[in-house]
Amino acid sequence: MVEWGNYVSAPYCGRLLAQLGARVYKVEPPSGDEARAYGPFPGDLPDPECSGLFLYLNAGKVGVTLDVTQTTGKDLLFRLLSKADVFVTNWPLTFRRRLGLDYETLHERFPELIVVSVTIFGDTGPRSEDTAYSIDADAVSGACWAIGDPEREPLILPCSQAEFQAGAHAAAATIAAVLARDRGYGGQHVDIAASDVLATYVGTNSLIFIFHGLKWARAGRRAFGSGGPYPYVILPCKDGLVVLICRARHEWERLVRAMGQPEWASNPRYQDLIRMGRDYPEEVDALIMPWLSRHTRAELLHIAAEYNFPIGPVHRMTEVVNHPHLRERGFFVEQPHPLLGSVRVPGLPYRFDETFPSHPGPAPRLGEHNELVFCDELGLSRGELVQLRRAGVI
Amino acid sequence: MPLSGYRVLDFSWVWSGPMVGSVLAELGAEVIKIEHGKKLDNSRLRGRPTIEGRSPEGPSIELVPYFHQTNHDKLSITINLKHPRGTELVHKLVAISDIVIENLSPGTMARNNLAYEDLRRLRPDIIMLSMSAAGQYGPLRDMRAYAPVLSAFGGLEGLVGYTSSESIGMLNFGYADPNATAHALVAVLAAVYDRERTGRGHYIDMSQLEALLAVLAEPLLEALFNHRDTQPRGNSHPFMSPHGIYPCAGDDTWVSIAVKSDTEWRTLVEAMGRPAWALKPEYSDRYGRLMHRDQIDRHLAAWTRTQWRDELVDQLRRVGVAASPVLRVEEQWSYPQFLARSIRQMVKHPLLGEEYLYRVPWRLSKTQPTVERSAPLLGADNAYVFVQLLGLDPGEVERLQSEGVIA
Repeated sequence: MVEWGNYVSAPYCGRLLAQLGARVYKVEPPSGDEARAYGPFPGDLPDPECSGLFLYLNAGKVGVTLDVTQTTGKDLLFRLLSKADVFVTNWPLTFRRRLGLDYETLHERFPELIVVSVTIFGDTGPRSEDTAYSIDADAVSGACWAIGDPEREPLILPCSQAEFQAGAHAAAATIAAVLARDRGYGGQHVDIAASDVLATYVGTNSLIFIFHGLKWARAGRRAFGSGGPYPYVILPCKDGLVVLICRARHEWERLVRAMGQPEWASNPRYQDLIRMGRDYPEEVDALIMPWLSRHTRAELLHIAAEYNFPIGPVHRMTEVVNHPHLRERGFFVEQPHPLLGSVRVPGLPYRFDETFPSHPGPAPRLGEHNELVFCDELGLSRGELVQLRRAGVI
Repeated sequence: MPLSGYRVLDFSWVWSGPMVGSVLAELGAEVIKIEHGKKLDNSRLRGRPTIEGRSPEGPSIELVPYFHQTNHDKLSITINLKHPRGTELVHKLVAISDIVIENLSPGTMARNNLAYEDLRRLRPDIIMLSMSAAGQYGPLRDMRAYAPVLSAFGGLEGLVGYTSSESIGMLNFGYADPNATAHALVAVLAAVYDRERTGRGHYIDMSQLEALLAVLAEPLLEALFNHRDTQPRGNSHPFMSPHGIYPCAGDDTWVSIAVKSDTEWRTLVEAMGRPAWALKPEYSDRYGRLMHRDQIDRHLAAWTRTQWRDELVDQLRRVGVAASPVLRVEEQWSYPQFLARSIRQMVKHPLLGEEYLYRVPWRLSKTQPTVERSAPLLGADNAYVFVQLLGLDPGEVERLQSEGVIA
């Protein structure tokens, strides 16, 4: 697989497939992937070889540099593509067209190649040529509309989520296209748009609101109208925030029992979870909050386990990375690093039986595998490599 | 299609698992949803919907649009897994199936004699996908899989808010569910690919919590590298300014604007008519704009407030500045970009009539996945599965129905 990717979406697609055993050639411009400048950096020392986001997204890839805007660079890319099954990219459509790296041109030359584009708006439709970032997908999908305080501006999804989701879908669709190729369909275009992905998510979950008497709209720390039965809300406790959610009557009864059956719980006004959720959720919050404020998140989790109702402590990330459950499952893994020895990073979200690899190795340094790929695999001489460097092609 | 000839048994509930099944159906597989009349998928129990002001006729368990979306293109059979004959029938089905999906609490499948070891004895190359909240082992294995509980636990809810001191979360979204679907699809299709090449089956233990953490790498790495918690950032961006959701003329009307390069900034300044505030030299480069983000946002919002949303978006996108309308979901349905890409398709449901369902958000030039049918009525395919696939005679099916095995 050849990944001509930048920042998050195509690199995340490449990461997921590299972890499943694909040999992924990452093609960076000589200035490097933008994620190299992003961080987080250990000790806040910015170094293009130490950006956490880059190291995570590009683990286990073979790294080369190429300026594909130069004819020689593009020729070398084509030589890589002639041996590849998959080409994945997230550069904008207009840029790809200008360079002759759009699907139509590539398909003519490499009919068996699967060409995967991962962009905000996709390669078709009236917005396909627009400048766009994650925030555009958040806005048009209807995601923003339902995040935030109703009295203030809508909020976006945090930390490039639109790009991550597009990357995950691109990885799944790529495998589907490989399966199709193996059934004789040849190469094809896999066109993934982050805006389509988020619109589908929003379009699905909003169904439980809009067709059941509620709105898809922002409602602060609550799902709008509690999304049906009360509670479905984030509330403060002694040492932070917790999510309370009961979807069934018996869960609510267990919660009230855990609170010691306060008097108000037998009041007819607090029996109908749908009415409570839709018509006066703040009133019920006010009854529960004094009890919550007497307990820490850990105590509440313990009580919830004892009485068997759901509760979600809102963790800080420093708490997540030290959680015993994740430690026991070995979720965080040591990734080798040329300067730091190793770095600790999130691992794979799925365990296969023993037949799949799970530790993909380090992320490539900028141009680390230029010699391996251009000389050993494509047959260029060292002299040519030096000339390519002098000409700024690599 | 890539999965034509594959048969999938879907034991999963609600959104994350069922949606995996529906995508596999779009890819050509025959997907059988295993149901039981006395213990229904919660999604059937959302109550009678109101559609265009009317309450449709028919049993409410058949009318829920959300259930139709998450179970389209499947077959439905009803079977009592607590009955020994029920187990026997499911085991016969496993022997002629390729993939089993479940998102139940760990141990539930084993209690019904449907652990991977049981399945493998019946079908050595079976692929089994388990996608519980926190995985099949570990101290939290019994955690309940409500999406907001997961997203609280994984730290996502704490990252959403206006200022660094105030988390507001994004409870409407149920984000952990579709995120789990996407990652589960990667895993299960990879297992299919390996099985096609080697003939081997696979067991996949996917943790929905870990799938969420996989996309929160940036704040997790901040904690791992620097022992620091990432705070809510509002609508600001670490390397873009301006970047945000700004008010437009009219009530509760908003536009997104994002500027990365200096060229984009100069274009935006031109579009605003070169106002004095925007010509400050310190705003001319990215560093300066990041350092003065709040002032720029205030000025920009004062300008956007005087503009009509759709005209403003058209004006800015034409000149190459990233700008989008903040759409309501009802507006999303008819947004020209989504219409052009047909992200929803019309199908006919026997009780609701015409309805629109989202297909998997992939555009493939040769093997385009499509939605062909809405969700099945409860037990709609009992005859096909028990008579045609398993070879029972119709009289025996009736007997099993009266004995509560097919129920």
